[in-house]
Amino acid sequence: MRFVEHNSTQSAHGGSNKRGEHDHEEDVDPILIKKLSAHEKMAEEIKKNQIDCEALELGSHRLERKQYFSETFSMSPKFVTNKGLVKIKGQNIDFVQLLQRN
Amino acid sequence: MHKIDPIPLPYGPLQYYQIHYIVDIRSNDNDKFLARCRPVTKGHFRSKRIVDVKWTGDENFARILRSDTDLTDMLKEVMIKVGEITIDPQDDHIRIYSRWVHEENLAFDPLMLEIADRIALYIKKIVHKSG
Repeated sequence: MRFVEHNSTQSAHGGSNKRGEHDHEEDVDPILIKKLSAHEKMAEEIKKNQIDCEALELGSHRLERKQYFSETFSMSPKFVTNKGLVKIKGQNIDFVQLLQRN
Repeated sequence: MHKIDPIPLPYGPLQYYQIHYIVDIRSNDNDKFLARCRPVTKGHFRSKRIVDVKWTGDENFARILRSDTDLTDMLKEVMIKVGEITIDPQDDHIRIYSRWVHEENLAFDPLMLEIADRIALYIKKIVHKSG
């Protein structure tokens, strides 16, 4: 997932009329591209709801290393892809995991 | 309406996601937390509404969840969107999740977290009581 942020500065808009062509090139707003994985995006959304959480590094936790399959519920897919784990702090829920169906 | 891929891949991950709320708890009673919540609806199409929710699974745990009226009210709100809620105990943790959703509809729902958190509270209470 990609997000594009524009950095707006005062100098980009004001006082650039008398500058040369070279200076004008420097006035272009820098574009910051922030790449977020699916679980990091989810962690951002959770944080917006005033819930303290932390997106863990992909594959770093033991819960991610084991393939999830429900043996008790039918219609559960045999293969799923782990898209990341978010640690929830200060709640009864410990983690939020995002899974993609195969 | 979902955008359907005109040339779908014959293999690999699909465009469907599921959010699992995990209670990291290991106990001998983990298998006693097996439960599923389904809505009881009335009407069809636009007039369809949730009148109640039905818990099935382990009798004792389902009874505890059924007796929480605040939880039932919250479930009535989300059930039309999430369809069903499953509590699936594993050896070293317990998962609470709803249906698979298309990537277009994938979003964090604070009410769903609140519901999962309340269920997790009951799980932890029961484990600490018996432990």
